[in-house]
Amino acid sequence: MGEGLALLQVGSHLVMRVSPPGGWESLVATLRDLVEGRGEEVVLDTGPLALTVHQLVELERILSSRGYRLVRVVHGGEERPPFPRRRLPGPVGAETGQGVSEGEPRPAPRAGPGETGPRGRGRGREAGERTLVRRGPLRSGQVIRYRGNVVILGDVNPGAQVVATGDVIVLGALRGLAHAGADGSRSAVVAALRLCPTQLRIADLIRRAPEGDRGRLQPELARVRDGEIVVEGL
Amino acid sequence: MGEVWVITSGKGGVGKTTATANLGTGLALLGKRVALVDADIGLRNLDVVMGLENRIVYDLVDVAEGYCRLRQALVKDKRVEGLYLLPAAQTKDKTAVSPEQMRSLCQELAREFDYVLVDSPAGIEQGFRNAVAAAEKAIIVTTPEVAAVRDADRVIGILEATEMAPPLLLINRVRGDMVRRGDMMNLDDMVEVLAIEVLGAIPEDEQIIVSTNRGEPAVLVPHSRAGHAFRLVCRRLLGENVSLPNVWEPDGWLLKLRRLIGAGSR
Repeated sequence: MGEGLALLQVGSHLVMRVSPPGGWESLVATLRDLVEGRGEEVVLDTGPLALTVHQLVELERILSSRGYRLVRVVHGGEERPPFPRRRLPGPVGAETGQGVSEGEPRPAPRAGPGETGPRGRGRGREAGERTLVRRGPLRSGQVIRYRGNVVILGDVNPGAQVVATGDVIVLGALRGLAHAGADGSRSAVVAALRLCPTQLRIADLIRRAPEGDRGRLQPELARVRDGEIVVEGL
Repeated sequence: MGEVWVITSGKGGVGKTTATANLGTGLALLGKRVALVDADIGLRNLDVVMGLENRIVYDLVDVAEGYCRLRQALVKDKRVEGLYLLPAAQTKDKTAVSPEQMRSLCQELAREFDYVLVDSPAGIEQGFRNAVAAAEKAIIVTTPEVAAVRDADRVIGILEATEMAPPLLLINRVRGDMVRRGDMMNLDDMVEVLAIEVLGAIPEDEQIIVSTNRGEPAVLVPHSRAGHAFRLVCRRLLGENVSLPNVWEPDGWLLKLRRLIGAGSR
């Protein structure tokens, strides 16, 4: 057992809590010294230490080399599934220490103001929900999934995807795919300086760009009205 | 120490191999020592385009496996001084070498040559990763077509996540008449999406097909429009502030390109 690592059996999982919580280097060193496991499923509690996407991948690799299977990372009370093989370019949100959630965004924990999504899923967005700001351009094949709002400073190119439980705001041309209210919130919106997406999704609704529409050169907002997505000038 | 460039695109068939052959030959014509490396193991073409296939004895995989020395595998071009080719293997596939092997191989070449140009295979898998691992700079080749631009964007995104310098864009197979009619993407459309510096543009030219079949790069053919454009791009690569020839009719598209190239800091 490594120094500063507390192990707890919780149900079928092994919870590893870093104690006392140190920095990234000490966490890596501690994990590398772990007793060989036998494929146990691990939930890693990093305490106040927030991880970037790359760091999540690294931890998964270290644990797997020691014979464990990392199934969840808990940080500051928030649970996040570890990042699978796919890697996002650059440490998204690294400055704020917030990793980007890979799995499907989960519904908000308590009911807030706003519409209820269909099938009772989704509770509407809460005021003060967090926002991820990312400098673009977001290139083809790049994906951002976030539990909160997403603001892109730049373009979102065709083949790129932004999926958020909150709003999606693009300070540039939205040419790719944007999905706002991904947890079922129909009150979410998508806005862009130039709205010409390959596809637009809000909650469970989908809208294609009209044929031949290259997007007007003016800021536009897409939202749900009377059960369908409408586009209005800002 | 020479520079190692990878010529890649994502999309197949846009002219990576042609560009590698012509840029390499063009740079050698300008007095540089150039090594061309074909990273398309299993589907090698650079040797054919260069007209050197009959002289291949050893290849890249032989060198990586230690079967021969690097010097033995290099094929010297008899037409242009200082131009060599390291061919790919045709009987293996892209798992035959690792990114680390490619890197050390190209580093060794960079000690002897001014420019090492690596011809990347299409795609973003092992072969592409091998080619990119070796290089410090990249040229993205694309054609003015939506599908090619989409793939180029993907590749640029992948490269931007590495430590490589920002890639340069080479637009190939441009048809000025189609651009004028609005049937082909213009420069603005492409640069708006790809948002990287333009190295140059090469016009569509039948001579390329003839050249490829003959194994004689277009830069060696005086009357070839594409060859002429490649020669200009080579000079631009070396830092010269070249302008487009008057042979091209000036129009909106080309005037903008001229301004863009002329005003570039390269």
